[in-house]
Amino acid sequence: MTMEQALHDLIFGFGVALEPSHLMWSVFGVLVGNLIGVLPGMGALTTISMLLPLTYVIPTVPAILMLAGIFYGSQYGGAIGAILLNLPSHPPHAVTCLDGYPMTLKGRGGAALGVTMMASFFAASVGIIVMIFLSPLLVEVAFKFGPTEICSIMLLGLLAGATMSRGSPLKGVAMTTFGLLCGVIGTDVNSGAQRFVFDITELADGVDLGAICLGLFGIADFIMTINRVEVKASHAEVRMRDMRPTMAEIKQSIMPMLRGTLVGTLFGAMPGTGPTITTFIAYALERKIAKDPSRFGKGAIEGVASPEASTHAKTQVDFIPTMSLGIPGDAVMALLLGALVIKGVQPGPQLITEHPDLFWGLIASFWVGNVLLVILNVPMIGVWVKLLQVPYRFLFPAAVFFMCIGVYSSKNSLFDVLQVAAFGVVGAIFLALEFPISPIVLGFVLGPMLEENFRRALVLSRGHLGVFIDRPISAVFIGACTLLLTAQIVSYLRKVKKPVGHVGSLELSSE
Amino acid sequence: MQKRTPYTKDRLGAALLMLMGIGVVAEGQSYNIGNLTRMGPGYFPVVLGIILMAIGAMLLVTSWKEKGDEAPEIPDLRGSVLILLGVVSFVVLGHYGGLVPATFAATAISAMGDRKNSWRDAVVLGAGMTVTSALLFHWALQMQFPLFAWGE
Repeated sequence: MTMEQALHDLIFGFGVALEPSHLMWSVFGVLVGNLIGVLPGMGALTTISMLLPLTYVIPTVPAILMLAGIFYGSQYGGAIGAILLNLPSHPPHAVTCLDGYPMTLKGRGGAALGVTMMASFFAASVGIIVMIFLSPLLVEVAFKFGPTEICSIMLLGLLAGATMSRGSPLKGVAMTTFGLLCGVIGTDVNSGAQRFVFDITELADGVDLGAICLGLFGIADFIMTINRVEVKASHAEVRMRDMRPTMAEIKQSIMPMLRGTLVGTLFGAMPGTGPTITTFIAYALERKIAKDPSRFGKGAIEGVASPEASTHAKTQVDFIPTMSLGIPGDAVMALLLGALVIKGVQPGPQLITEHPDLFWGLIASFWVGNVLLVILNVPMIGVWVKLLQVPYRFLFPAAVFFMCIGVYSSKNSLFDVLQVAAFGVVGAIFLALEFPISPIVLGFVLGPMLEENFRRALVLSRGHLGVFIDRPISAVFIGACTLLLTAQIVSYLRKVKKPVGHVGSLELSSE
Repeated sequence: MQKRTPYTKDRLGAALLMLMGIGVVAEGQSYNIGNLTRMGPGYFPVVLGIILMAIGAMLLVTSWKEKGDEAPEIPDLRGSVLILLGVVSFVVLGHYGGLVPATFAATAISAMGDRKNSWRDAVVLGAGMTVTSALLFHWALQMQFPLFAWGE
């Protein structure tokens, strides 16, 4: 496959994305994603998992387009909350708060939102171009992937996802393992044996993806927040004309936007690195090269433009490993992957060639979705600001109900709703003990695939474990895993020797 | 500000991981484990269980060096119990009552979890959500969920 072919396919993709029935679902996704994402405490993850059941009733292509729409809708909604309220409901926005909120206090909140929109649009466009260049290459490489290679790269993705999130890498690996175990529950595809079912017939089909996400990210979060954390409503006023940044502000943010996009693109190609870490690196870079670093944290527009560009570029490029290798970069991608699997689409090297409408339609829909985001947000900003003022104490009970009915609707099963409560308890326990919870989802989605490929690889090699380092591509991934582990051990030993001042900017992030 | 306690987050977490690991390995024993060439259904979970135990042990060892380790943050009892009760009531009343009572209970009970909400707030919120739910899910989306049901 050549570049020209890729360009040709992209045009085909635009045809798919712009088909009225598909476009309708994209608009719906962006709108609803934005609507829910703007509400305090509702991140992209909660939003997507709440609306996941909707995808069961519509065809695969519009379903995935809608989910992608929900994703950037809620991501942008999260940026609104971060800038106007100082409330990061999606972890990557923690950085956006640092300078976005001070801008609101200075009365430039609208401009910050405008720049965020520009950055998102620009970064997404670059991301699409990168995808056009990379996907033909990737298809070629991916066809050399057998179960052995898939297994090793999954291992790398899981390890990276576990160790590069917030806090203790050890706890991250533990949570990934826990997620893998949750994936084991149910009927074993190879032997038909029931595992960890404990005679509960409903569990034979395994744990419900929506239930696990809503329990961990919804209910558990409510449990940890209620009556303990003051969630204040915003009284910021933003009107349509405030959204336009001044020429000086635009000039100031162009270079940071470019740099942020670059950072995001580089990290996007690495499986397992979440978008949060990307935003922190982008922010740190801006502060380092700024002429006057003291402006940061007090409303520097560069501090909004660069991280926002980086997270959007990262997200875009992240779809490449997610779709073509089946290795999601973070929990949101894992959720999208789960939706694909539910739809009967096996992510992997064959996806680009077997489902070109899905892959290229999705790529084109990023661009379409970002245009929609701009079109919808300029007139709607007043509505979003009003929504931000809904008090938390009214919001979360309504959310509890929507989670219940959302999970119920996927299979008309009340048992699945019970799972939400169960994972709410599990999530709250882990949160109380300061375990990062998003690796659980990563493990849960990848678990069955990892096990299947692991078993297949070893059947093919007649039980010879060395096969993972005998095959060159696999050896590279295993080498990267070893490097990652060594780096963690070295940094731990250093920390123990020098206990003071180890809190770098990278540890600030949430999972 | 730091609470001094031997039961810190890391140590409790380590204990939890080891317990889980032991449980998984014990349960995994009852499935066919097999060998590397012919892995049975028990192989993968048992390996994961062993990993959990190992991480638990490592976390326990490192917890002695950890300076910032504190006691776990305990969530608000009333809030957490009522939120969970809200979800459970949705399940129970969904079966023995139907969509209307289930919606009302899930919303109103979890609303009572917030100490700033009065009885009236909870009832009004519950009633509002019930109307929304009936209109949106029963009539508009035609969901398979009777408004009132008496169980089987």
